[in-house]
Amino acid sequence: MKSWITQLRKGLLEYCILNVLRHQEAYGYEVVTRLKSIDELIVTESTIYPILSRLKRDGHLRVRSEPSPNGPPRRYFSLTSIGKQHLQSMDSYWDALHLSITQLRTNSMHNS
Amino acid sequence: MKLTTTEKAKIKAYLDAVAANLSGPERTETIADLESHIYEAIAFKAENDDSSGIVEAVISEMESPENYSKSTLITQSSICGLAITGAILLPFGLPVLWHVVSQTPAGDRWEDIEFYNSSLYHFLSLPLGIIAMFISPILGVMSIKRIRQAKGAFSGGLLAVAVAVFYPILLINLFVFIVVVNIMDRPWSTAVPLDSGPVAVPIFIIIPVIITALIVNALIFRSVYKKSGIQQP
Repeated sequence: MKSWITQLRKGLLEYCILNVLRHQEAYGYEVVTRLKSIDELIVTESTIYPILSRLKRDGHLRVRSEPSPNGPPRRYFSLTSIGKQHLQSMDSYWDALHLSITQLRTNSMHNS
Repeated sequence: MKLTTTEKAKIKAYLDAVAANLSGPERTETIADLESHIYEAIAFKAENDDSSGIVEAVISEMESPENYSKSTLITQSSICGLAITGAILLPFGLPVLWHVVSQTPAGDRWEDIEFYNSSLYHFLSLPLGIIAMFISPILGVMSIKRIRQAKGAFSGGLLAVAVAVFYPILLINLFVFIVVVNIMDRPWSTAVPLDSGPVAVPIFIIIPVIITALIVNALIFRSVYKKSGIQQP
């Protein structure tokens, strides 16, 4: 069970990050803090920051730097048009998957 | 919050330790994000807690630097070395094949090339070429297996398949070419009598034949690539 949850979380992280940035840009600390507030995800910096970098490299995110009153410049991440399309595809897939699993569960309950 | 030199040094030491566990193009960016993260976390903590030792507290809450090396998400897949070796070996077999074809009826009107009489060819190019023709397909097949087993850690699937099938496909092509040329020179070929001199095949026949051969080769390649089971990107 534990291993299944770990694998599921890993697969969902990218989707969760893109969802954090769906409506507004955010800097790394904000992204991590928002995801850390979801107990079921159990995220860490070592997983989030590499994914952010990879998403940027793949053209799904863009970055702009802005001076921070607290130290080094903040790197604000936001979705590119490719990123938005990618998120839309993920939404569609997620909805279809959720529907299928719900149907499976419902059918199983009726059969039993 | 103003940090002391010692506190800044502690942050730098942590970041250096993380950097030592990272590789790939994202390393610099990840460290920059992490540095910003630490300073933001310190500022957030300082708003609610005015006691000393905030920097130590924040760093202790951070993950162990070793955890960054476990992150498979950042790992760049590298091109399989066996496939690269096979690709480097490939060209060495071509002069040998050229020489073989020149010894057949298909190449009997080719001009003699001095290189094939030189010791450079006999003692270096020929043995290397023969080895290349046999070793390259083996390296290609081994690369395919390795890439398949690595599950994303190795890339270069197309290269591996190309290395594996290059000589088998080329040999089939040459075999067909030699057979066709041989048949056309025979007396029972109705199109060309023996005493008519060199066979001149019209261009409108050559071009479709070449295109067909290329399509067939591409289909063979695609079929092998699909059957190889290499993960699609």
